[in-house]
Amino acid sequence: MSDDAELRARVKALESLLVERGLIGTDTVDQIVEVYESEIGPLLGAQVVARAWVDEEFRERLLADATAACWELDIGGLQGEKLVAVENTDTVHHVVVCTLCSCYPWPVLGIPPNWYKSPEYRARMVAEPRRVLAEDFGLPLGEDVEIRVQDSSAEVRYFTLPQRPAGTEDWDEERLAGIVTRESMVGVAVL
Amino acid sequence: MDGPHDLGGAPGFGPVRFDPDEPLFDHDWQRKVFGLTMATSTIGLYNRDENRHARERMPAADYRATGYFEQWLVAMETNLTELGVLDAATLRARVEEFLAAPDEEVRGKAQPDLFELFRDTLEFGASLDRPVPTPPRYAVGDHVRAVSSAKPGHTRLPAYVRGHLGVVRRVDPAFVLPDTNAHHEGEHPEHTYNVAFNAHDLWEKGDHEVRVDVWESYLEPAD
Repeated sequence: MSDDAELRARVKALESLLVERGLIGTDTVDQIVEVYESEIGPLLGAQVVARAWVDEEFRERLLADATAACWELDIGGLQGEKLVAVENTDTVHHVVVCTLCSCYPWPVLGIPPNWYKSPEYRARMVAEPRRVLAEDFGLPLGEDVEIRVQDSSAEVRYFTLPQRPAGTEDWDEERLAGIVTRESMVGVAVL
Repeated sequence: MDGPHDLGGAPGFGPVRFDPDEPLFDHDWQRKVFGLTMATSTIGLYNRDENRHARERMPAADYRATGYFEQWLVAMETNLTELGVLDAATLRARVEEFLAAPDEEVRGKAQPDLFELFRDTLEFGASLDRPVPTPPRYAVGDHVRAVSSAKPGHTRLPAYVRGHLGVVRRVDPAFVLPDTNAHHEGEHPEHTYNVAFNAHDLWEKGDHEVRVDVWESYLEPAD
């Protein structure tokens, strides 16, 4: 692995030459990254999940066509052009991975965390999900729960619709959204 | 192609280091790499498949020894020099200048209009779905086999399903074929499919199902 001084210099060199060529501006990188730091993240996905929990018709639309359902909440765009939501139940548990790179539903969950991009996750989740979920994510699933691993290998971007926890029956949508985690929408956690 | 990126089922990996509270970027240079990749792809200097292929062409030992954002940096350096946007010797000379003066910042002009272009891409997406005149060859429930041979260039068929039998679970729209798009050989859109494979068939262990999304030419009829 290159040391940080070398990496910092390589990045600055690339940026400075692109700026000199007029291809980008000195403000471009910061403006782009700030969108992902402040506007786009799992809080958006949490709104989708909470809506599906309180509105049965929305839930059905979400499972039938997640792209259109998310647009109802003004959620969509780059790396979420074709979204599919998969529902976790008492008997079927979905978990999402990208073994070839790091495909992830950006408009719903933001950019992916390190563990999702790690070679360990990419290598092992398709082959031994029961063990990885139990040992690395603290999610032991019963033998009676069927596991479906979705490898995001083409253009569809996936997220999971977690089960609504018991005891939240009288909660409103906003309060519900507050308990929905990124991990529960990738399928490495339940709520 | 067979490459170091094709990690599904690869042996020898230890525990996933899960940290629910990790920052978006561990280092400022990673933040810059992300922004530069988004900027250079948005202005169309290279396409998404080319970007992936540049990472996949890294020597396996280098790929494994570098972190995620360093792989992205290598891909940018590879694509921008191979495409002639930047000259490799000039780039290296500039790296040496910044190494000699590490506190020096990048100077030049701002380009606020460029961000508006990015904003459009972000909000409306850059979908690679394309209309095709032919109907899908396979239907939900069809038994199919993933093709066994890997071509030398870019592909999105994970090695672990090659030659294996699966069942079509969903028919998706036609999308630009990465195998040609990565090499500037045209878009050649094909229907795509969600195909379910039985873990025990793939790994000789496990009771789960693995679902993979594939382009039509990655499949053949099971019989």
